[in-house]
Amino acid sequence: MLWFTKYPVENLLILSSAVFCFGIYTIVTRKNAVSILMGVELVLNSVNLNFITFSQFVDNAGISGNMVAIFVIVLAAAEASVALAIILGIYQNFGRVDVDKLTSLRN
Amino acid sequence: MKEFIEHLYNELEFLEGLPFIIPFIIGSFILAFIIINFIAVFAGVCTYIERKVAARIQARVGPYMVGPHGILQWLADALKLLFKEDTVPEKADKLLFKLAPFIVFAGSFACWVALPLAPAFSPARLNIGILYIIAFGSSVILGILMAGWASSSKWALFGAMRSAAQIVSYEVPTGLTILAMLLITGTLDMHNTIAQINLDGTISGGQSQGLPFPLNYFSTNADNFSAGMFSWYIFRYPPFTFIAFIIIYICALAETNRVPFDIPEAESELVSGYHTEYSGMRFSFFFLSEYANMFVFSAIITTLFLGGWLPPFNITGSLLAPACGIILYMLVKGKTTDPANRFIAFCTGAGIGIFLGVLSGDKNYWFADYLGIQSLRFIEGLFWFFTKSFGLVILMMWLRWTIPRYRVDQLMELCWKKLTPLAFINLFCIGILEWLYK
Amino acid sequence: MSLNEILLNIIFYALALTGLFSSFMVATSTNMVRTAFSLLGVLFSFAGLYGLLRADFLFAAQILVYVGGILVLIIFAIMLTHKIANVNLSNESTSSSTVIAVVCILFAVLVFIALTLPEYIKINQRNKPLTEMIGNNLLSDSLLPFEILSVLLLACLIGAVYLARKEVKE
Repeated sequence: MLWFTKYPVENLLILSSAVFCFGIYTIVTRKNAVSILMGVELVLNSVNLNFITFSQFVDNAGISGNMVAIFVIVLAAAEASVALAIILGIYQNFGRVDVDKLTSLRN
Repeated sequence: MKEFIEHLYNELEFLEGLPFIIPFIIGSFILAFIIINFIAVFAGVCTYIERKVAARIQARVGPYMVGPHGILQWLADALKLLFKEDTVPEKADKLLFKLAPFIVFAGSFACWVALPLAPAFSPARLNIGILYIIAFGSSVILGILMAGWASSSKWALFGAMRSAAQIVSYEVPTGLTILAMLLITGTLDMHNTIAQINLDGTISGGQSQGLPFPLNYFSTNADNFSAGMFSWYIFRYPPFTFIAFIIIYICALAETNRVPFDIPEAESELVSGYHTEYSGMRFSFFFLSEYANMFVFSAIITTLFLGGWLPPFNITGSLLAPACGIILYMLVKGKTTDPANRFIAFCTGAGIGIFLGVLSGDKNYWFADYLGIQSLRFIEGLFWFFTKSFGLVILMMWLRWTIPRYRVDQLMELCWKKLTPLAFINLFCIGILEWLYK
Repeated sequence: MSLNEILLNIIFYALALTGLFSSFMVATSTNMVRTAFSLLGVLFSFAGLYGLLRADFLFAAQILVYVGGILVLIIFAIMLTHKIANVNLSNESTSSSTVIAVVCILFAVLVFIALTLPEYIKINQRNKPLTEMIGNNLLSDSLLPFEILSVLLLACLIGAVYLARKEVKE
């Protein structure tokens, strides 16, 4: 790994793994459901960065990495909308969105 | 922009030893400085024009004291804003409160990068031009939400939520309409959208050709200068492209929070919307961003529908029109003091100029070879682009004093029940026509 | 190393540090509002990195979908599920040393994998604009995933509307 390089592959990979770890940490430790969703977004973003890095530096002719990243973005949008709809439903039923308090299936 | 600096770099001898990146960066900073100042002056002049238009519509005089006909009023206002005390509410989230105006302004300022301001010149030729502009235009919402939330004021919060809901909703018909136009243009590159119109009004789609700055390219492609207004995209498939134009214009009004859709800052309900708590310099950033956004939307509409920098009639007429207008204006100036009469005189002169230009019917301008200044087309393109965009901006001001404000539910109903289905039908019809006639 | 590359490296490190710091704030900030706007920093810096990696379409898509769509949704969700009159909303987190240790081990493993990459890396020379290639690819090689995704999006649309609507009292 070089600090100043034209091909910062390792640097990008380390950055994305750091963000991935922050995302996992957020998912594990947060109580608020919306915050957990933010952690998921962090994880998805770091994965996207990996895909695009490999698409740029390894996959010489194709754009498969970019395609996967596009699909990930679309899926993230779909997932966010459904998750937020669920969170709003939970809020309507329970009056709170802290996941550790939500222990019953019905109110 | 890059081509322009490359050209200079090759021409100027004292830059010989320097790597290209240094003049490139300096040039970019100079251009950014020019544009940022342009936005500031533009916003100032717009407030003056807006007040004058309002005064005219309501049979008042408007600002009259500072300078002749109050023409320096905007400078006085700007000075007042600069020297105002910069207050931060006690309960506000200080960091976000201070950051928000800059994010809003950066969002609308970033859009200027991809605008095709003149032939062979836009600050950067982006391959994804229109997508880039839509993307950064939508990031303004975040700044507005941030401002509304950090202010710790219910008026600001309500304004921000209304504004965000409104902008997100109206992005749907905007996107669908732009998609319909992209079916016709076949390119995301804003520059190529105009450059690919041929002289006979047809469109040569496909790859974007790099247009080198040295003006030799004018001999080939810029002959589309005399293509005339019927080569514009708005006249492509008449009923549907007109509908698309109207839809996107309504959406532009809504996305820039202008009357009749200014419910985010409805002063009779909310004090002043999301920038209630702001004063001085920070307020002026919101202000600048609003006017910059108006111009950006007008420029997008100009590019996609009104032919960008192309003159509406052939080349001789386009120069004769302002010339005759100015001559007649000068003649009338001594005889009357009413600005309206002077304006009418200018318009009459311009009309005579257009008539003469149409009469001459010559696609090359007769004095071009004589003077040897082909680069006149650069200035002319700049002139037409800004004239069209300003025209759309002034139309927005006119509408402001004509139409009453919508209610929130009416606004949403207009978007989701009327404009969105209409935009879908429009997209479908334009797709079919494009499939049939291409 | 030319001046051009030094500049690119400076931009890269600026973006990377912004992304790192913002994601750290997302993970640890105790203020709900700050958390949401830190995510903005992550998304923007990642968009910048995509731009640096010449994925121009991804750059626009990231800002358009994530910043203009998902983040606005998230902020709306925060506003709708909290008493928003208070600016300093708390955002509790239940951190423990176990979690930190596990995450650190995960990070170490990932860094180890990243540093032991085989040496087959070469720069990607694209001769066509990326957007055009993506457009062609979407309608040829990845047509099936594209269609499946569009069906999925429709399902999500209907599902989200169904879940979020108000209960109709009989």
